[in-house]
Amino acid sequence: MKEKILSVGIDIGTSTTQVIFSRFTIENTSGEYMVPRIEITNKEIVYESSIYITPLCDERTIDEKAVHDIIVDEYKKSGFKPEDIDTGAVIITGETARKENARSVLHFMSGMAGDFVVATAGNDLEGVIAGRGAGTSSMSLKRHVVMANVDIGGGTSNIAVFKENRPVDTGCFDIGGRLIKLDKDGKVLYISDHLGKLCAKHNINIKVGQKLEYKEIYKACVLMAQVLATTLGFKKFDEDDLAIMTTDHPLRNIEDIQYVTFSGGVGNLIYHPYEGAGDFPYSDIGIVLARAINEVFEPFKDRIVEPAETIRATVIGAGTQTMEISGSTIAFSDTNDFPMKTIPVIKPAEEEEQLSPEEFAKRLAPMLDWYNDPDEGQELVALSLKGVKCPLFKEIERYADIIIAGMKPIIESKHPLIVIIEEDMGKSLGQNMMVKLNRSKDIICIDSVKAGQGDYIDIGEPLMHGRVLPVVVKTLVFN
Amino acid sequence: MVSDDKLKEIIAQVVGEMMKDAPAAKAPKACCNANVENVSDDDLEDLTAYSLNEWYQVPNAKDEAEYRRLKLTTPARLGVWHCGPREMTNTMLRFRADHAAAQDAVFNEFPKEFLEERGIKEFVTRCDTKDTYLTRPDLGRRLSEESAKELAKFYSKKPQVVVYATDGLSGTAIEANYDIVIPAIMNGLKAHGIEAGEPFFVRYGRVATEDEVSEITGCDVCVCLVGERPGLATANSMSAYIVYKATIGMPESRRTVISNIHNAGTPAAEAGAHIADIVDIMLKEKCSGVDLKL
Repeated sequence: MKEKILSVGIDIGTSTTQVIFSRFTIENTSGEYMVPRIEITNKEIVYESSIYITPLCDERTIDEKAVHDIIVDEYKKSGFKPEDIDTGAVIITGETARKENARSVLHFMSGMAGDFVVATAGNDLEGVIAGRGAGTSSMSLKRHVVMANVDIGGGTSNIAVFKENRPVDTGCFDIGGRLIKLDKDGKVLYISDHLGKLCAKHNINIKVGQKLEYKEIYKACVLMAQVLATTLGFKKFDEDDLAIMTTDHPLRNIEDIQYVTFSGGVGNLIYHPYEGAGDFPYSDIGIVLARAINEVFEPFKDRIVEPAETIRATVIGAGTQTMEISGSTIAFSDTNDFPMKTIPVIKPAEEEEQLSPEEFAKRLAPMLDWYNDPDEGQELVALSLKGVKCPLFKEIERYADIIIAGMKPIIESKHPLIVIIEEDMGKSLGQNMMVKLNRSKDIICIDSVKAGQGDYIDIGEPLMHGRVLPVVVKTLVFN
Repeated sequence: MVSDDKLKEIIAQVVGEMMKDAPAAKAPKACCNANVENVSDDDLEDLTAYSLNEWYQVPNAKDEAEYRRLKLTTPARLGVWHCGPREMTNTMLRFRADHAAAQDAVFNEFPKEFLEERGIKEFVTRCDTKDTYLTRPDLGRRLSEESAKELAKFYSKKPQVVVYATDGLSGTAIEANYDIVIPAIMNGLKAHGIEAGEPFFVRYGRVATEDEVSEITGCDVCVCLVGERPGLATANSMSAYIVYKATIGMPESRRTVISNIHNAGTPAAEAGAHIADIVDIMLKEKCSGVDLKL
């Protein structure tokens, strides 16, 4: 038995807008005579749009109408309708995401792109999505090395570090190809605040209205490349420059990064330098930035790897790398109302899972309280646990007891009881909780999914005759 | 010609290097104590305590980490190293120990104490000894006359579902999984609102014994948990043969099977929960085996 699902990825970046459609094949890879093991066995990109320049009304606003027309037109060309879409993600990246109308654009897009679509923006997640789309994440598993991907778009550089196909660190900088825009005569139309500050500090003379001097902008680009080399831990340059260009936070340098890949429009130019005429053919500084990065990273040439995707990394990540499927032995009440979106996750420390139900409830209470609004009451929260390998039945019962004690505020609310457990014990645990709650509470108990404190999850409609649930874990914080 | 002294020096150097690179924790120590008199069992290393996935003895491998990752994917005896053309002594002993465990699983009597401690009712097939069981499959498929009579009186009212265990070719597998899988099935059936009769045990049973059990008890669905023929990887693997309204002599294709229930396969608790779901589907679809599309 095979099931195919259609996924859409839409990336509205500072400089470009792209759409892809891909088809996932989901099948049971275990024998007929065994407990099923349902996996995504193939991901095939079935349609790629052209790469559009993101239409903006002015520096601060996306032209909603024009973006709408692009997406509608691409749907038409692809032959797919919004109702055909099973999953996917719309991502508004970079500086654009901070603009006032981003929310309404996202709202409008999720209506356009099927029911189960993540509509999100956030620097950490964007970096992870780009790194997965570029293929850096899977390369870290294949080569067993720690790899970083630096996705350099128009407004920002989103860095994600991967180890064994899992993100371990992220950082974001205001470094991109469109921090300066030029008019057709080569005069500066716009310079970003961060770059302005950096230039002022180093007495680099770039002013709005003046003609852009190559020598000056090259100096600024070298400084930005040095910021990247510093945060990656390749070579320490000026820490103050790093602070100036940091969006939220730099890398935490938990792991030593062995290799680096670059993606995004500027990333592409690093591997394939521009050979045409002029230095500013796109009326921005992307080409100069790529050249500066190549110079600064020259001593570390051996550690630079070309990823599978560069300019399309984010859109491919959004379309193919955001959804995973739960373990194949899980339990959920059929009265649940799927899809469920953006559910906050709480995760107690692993050793707290060994506490008595009363003690466990005490530890969970403040975490739940955080999501208890005085007016609205208890909000929906999912509990994430580690669990145990090959549990005895009394372990299952013990877990059911601590969950029921700890999640009392949820059980007494109108919300379903959602439990995400890492080890393979979801079905027996779910059934046990159903019995303990007299089959009167909606339960979702999924396993083989890792979600940490502060993450958000989306749960889609059941697949494969209700055997598995599609899940999107949105990791926003790395510790 | 190399002098004797030179030769000794070379040997000492080589041995020294080998000792220096002796395998790290989690792999057994090389056995080189020739004096085995007056050694208590407590002082001997239990070679079966190591997982074969971690039994790694290749010295100076070019990429040990990668070799170890490969080993995690299989219980096959890879990377156990050698001594000349032979395997190492500890590898040979472990192989014999695993083989002995498989033999024991087949030939040992299922312990009465296990049943008495848990108050599990025991029935028996027409086999009177383990030898008869192994040589006469036909007798293992039917209950003894006395057991048949007792089973007919075992339930006060007709159970919708019967769940029972039988030693089959590995009593060890039943001992290892019973306390996890039975409560998991019972709990799962309860979650579906299904009533099952009290579980019991059949000695010297084969899969098809469940046909007679079904006829006698009149149950709709019968779940037979049976020890699988053991191999060198594990003697703890168990299967569940689940059938809707079985009758003696029916085709084998009417059975639905879930195999490979053990710690390195499907964990017993999850298997039990899955079995409960299958029973629920069978009761709704009123069929089993190849007729049942899961």
